[in-house]
Amino acid sequence: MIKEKTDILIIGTGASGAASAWNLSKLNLKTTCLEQGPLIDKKKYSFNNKEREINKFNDLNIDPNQRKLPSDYPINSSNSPISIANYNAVGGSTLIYSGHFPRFHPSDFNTKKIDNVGSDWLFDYCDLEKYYNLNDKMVGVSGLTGDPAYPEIKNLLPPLDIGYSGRLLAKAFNKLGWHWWPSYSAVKNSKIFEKGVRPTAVETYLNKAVKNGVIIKPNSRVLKIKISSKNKATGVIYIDKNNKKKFLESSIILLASNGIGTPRILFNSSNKKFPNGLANSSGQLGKNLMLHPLGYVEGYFNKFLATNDGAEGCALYSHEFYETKKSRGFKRGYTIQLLKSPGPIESFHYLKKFNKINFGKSFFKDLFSYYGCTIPLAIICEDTPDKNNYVQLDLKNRDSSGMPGVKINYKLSNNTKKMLAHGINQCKKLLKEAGAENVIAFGPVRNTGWHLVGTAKMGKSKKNSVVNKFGQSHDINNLFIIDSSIFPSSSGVNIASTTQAVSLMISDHIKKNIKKLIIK
Amino acid sequence: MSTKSNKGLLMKNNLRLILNYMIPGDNYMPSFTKAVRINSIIKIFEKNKFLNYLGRKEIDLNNKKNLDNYVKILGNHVLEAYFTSNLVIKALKLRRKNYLKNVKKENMTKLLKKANSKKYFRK
Repeated sequence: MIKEKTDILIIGTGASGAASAWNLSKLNLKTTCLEQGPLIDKKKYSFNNKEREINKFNDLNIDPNQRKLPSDYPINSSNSPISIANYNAVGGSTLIYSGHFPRFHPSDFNTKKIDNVGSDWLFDYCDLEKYYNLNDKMVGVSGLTGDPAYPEIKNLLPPLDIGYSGRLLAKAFNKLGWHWWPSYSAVKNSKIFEKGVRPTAVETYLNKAVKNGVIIKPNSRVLKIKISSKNKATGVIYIDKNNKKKFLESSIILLASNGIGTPRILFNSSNKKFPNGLANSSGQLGKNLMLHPLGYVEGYFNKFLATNDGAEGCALYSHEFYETKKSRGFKRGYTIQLLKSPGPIESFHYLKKFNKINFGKSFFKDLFSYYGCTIPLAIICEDTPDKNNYVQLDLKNRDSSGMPGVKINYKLSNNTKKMLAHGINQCKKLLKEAGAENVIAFGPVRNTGWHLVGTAKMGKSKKNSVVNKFGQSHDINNLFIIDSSIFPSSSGVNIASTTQAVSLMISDHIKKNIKKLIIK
Repeated sequence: MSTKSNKGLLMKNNLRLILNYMIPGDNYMPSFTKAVRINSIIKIFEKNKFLNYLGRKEIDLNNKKNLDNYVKILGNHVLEAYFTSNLVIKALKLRRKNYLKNVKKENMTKLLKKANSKKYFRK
């Protein structure tokens, strides 16, 4: 087997891998990133690409089981009401994410302490604030200071326009006396942000990391992490772009492959010392999978509101029902997000499903009765950790390299079911108040498992957690997990901002302790 | 004119009829063949027997069974080619502009002043 050497190895180049790659690139060390997916031309995934709506059904489909690209691995979600969404390429899932960029609430870091539910983090909002700020600066986050749902967030770029639908909804929120605020969005370039264009991890971090000397190897899939007799990670076996098996030796290994991919690699790296998965002496690896069950409520208005325009992810949001209130009958809460309605092609397919459109004379009449006339809302429910929701290897389904796929086993808790039902009822009320003629609602929506959290949780003790507060494995001290799998709780907001802030915090810790960690 | 080019012309005419039947256009939106070059659709179906069939005889748009069959074959390709055409993108923008020209856009800051501003976060 061909042998190579690096000082720091990062597995995965998505949100978390990219942030750490940039942060560690300032060290005078050789840093290499292995990415199982390809390097994709920016034009392909750009929101300005006029074929983007078509690509969403093809190569840029959020569902790996439908894409079935050589870089994807099978994810069996037959035992779950929610299927997994991800993207495997340089930049990871940020290539297809919407760029909605909220932070966690301070309460999200200690749900056990204040609400007796879930698990507490080993640091709090204040500890992370510095990294939230740094990440906001790197990503270019738009929003508005003064949001009563958060401690003050400064230095934001101007907020995106909330559109006609946002104004209609804002008035309804005001009538009901509920919180709302223009959303936080990743926008980066102020010249194009009005169009809702969002930057990916490639533009925000990876390009800068490469300039600083970081090596990115696309189409390179890690099969196993190898360890020494002294429980030190020594390197990885990976398959390169030419299908050659190689061993890459490294002093420090950072796993950044998300809440599904990270346990997959660790399970596949099991050995005599760790028969149940590498770094899994606690038995917690793969457990506590959290997914943010999502409810969808759509109001139909008998007029054109251009709801298909504006911020890609979320124009405005509400945290009226975010924190626990006993009278609601469930703990923790959810975000209401105003989404963008579908484009013409998706609108056609939606109407076709219900036999409400045909080609021919009435084509435009049918299409324009729906296109731009609906206000879609999403309810992002906080999920709570449960050891019965878990990830395991699926030996029957393998990827193009022969590595086992993943099976997820997941059920909605009663708490989440109540939360979802509450959210749907409140959104119906809101849309009626806004003047919707008709409202449809359903949840949980199946293809929405894009926030993958909790499967390698952090904790103080190696008996019941996989890593410490710095993402460092309790079992193997030169192995770090820097993605959202270490989150002990999920929050009720999109996770990209917190994932990157945590990654920056961990890589700062590594920088400070580099002399101790590097074996020369 | 050779039989081959006659067939080609007939095929194009028939295809044009079907495509414009599918997407006929309206006050804002162009018909299919105004927006998309017919050759781009021919290219997609180059090896499909369907095009040969269209070169045989004039089609009857009143024959619903046949028409449904053509629509089924062309469906997604037509939709994708049409809505990614620059002319259609422009038409959609113009339509948007005209539909919203009399709609007032309230000042967001004014709306926010009326919003519930009690503190929602807990430490």
